[in-house]
Amino acid sequence: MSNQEMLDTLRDTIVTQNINGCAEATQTALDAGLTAVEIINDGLSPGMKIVGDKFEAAEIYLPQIMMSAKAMNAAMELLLPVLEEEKGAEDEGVGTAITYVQEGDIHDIGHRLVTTMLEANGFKIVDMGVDVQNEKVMEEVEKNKGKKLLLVGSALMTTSMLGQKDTVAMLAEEGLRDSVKIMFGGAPVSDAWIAEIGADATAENAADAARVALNLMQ
Amino acid sequence: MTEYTPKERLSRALTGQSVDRMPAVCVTQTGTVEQMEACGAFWPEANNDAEKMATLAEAGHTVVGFEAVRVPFDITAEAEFFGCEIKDGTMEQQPSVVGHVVKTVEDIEKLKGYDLSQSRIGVVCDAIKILADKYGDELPIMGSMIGPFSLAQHINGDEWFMAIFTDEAFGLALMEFTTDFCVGYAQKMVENGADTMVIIDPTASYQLIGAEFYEKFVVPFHKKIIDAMHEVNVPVVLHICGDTTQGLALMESCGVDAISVDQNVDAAAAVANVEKAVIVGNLDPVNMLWNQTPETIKEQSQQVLDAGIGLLGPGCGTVSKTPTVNLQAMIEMAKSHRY
Repeated sequence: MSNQEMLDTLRDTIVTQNINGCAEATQTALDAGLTAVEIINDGLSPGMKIVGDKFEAAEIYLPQIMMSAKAMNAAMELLLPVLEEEKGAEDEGVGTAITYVQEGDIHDIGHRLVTTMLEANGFKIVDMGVDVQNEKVMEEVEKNKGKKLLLVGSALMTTSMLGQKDTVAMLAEEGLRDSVKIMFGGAPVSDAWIAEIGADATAENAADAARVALNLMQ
Repeated sequence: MTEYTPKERLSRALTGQSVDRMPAVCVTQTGTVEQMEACGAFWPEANNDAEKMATLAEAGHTVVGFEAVRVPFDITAEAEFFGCEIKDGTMEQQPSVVGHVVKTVEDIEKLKGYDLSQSRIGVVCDAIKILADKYGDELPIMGSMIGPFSLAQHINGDEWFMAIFTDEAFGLALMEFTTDFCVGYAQKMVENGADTMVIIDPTASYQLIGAEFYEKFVVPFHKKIIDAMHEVNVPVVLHICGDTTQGLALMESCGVDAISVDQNVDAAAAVANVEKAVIVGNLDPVNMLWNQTPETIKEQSQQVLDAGIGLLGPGCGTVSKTPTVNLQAMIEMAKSHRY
């Protein structure tokens, strides 16, 4: 199989939600000498892009996206250790993304998708999970201060979205605001809200989030 | 001109009969901090105590001016009833479901044989009784519950979205179970005096699951609840979040009387996409009702009314910090609207 054929197979296993097939194709590509970066950037990531586009076009829905994300995870489990070896401990790649769901909110569908997408796009991920207090977010930002750092918060409920305003205010108070770019997402989040609370960006969907995140880090 | 009580007016408006003007009601949650301070019944206590729940619901009428009373203020009592771990709410935040109890068909069996007088399900029914005794002749008494699809997601976790794709037998079994519960719970609310039923089924969004899954895993189950309510002459409002524009015809096929849409839906398109369901909504609860002035809210209300909305209200649950004057601006616009 040519390299291009292997990459196409990787892309297709993501699009067709083939979890086992995706892991197998990843192993095959690694064995054939492709780098983890090539596998992600030229195989898996284009697959996830197609998945995002299909969701936007209402051709597929959440059940299929979650299965694609699961296929992506199966590949990433094999690739993460290889990636570290390839890049060496010093390299920051595109940056580090701290992802979390605002306190009081346990809707993690969007959060998981965005985390997966960012990971697929080369971010080192610190996944803080759901229902995270702002104090914990501050600690994590402090810990990663000095890196190319992106904070990615989601809130699916209007009530929990209120906490995003406090996150930005607390980062400013702690003198950490300039150490980190901030993206917020979730159904109730709008550009107007982002501007009002002084965050940096939001995105339409998980696929778009990866694009916006890469732009922010440049 | 015929004068109706608010109760008659809403009932007529929801069932396609002529009325003198638009009823001013809110089908989604009504609790706000200003109302709590005015009536002395605060979250989270008002979620767990029937007297306090009724007091805060009453404030929606006496403090704000809604022409109905409505309980409860959250959608976690049902999952809590089945043993899901709940993270308590605060004065400003609603409780949330953090633990899940069903993984398999066998797990569903273990949950059967429940007693509807228990837990917060019983509290909500008691609160309805208090409100119905006091206002039942005059005001609509709205009972609200989570819909069967979102309840299934609460008790199964987010794996639920993959389950409907990969394990249809389990998916349908869990839907049967949650729907039977919803029917029983709704009937009990009606026995206690509820005259209008609201089903909040946020994750059963067409935007999230699309037509195929919606038709198989949502429509027949909503229909079962609505048929049971229509047997006792109770109209039903269905609220689902997200951009549901393309799904409205399918959502209506369960026989529901009214559909509440969120701010992502164009009101005129929504009205055009249904046959006879009353479209309810859809002022943005955050960027409009919470964060704008009464003047801006009136302007936006006029646009939504001009688009042909059937009942003016928030596009989702009212944000707890929403100022009373903002809600009153919306109410004033609804009351002065003639169809």
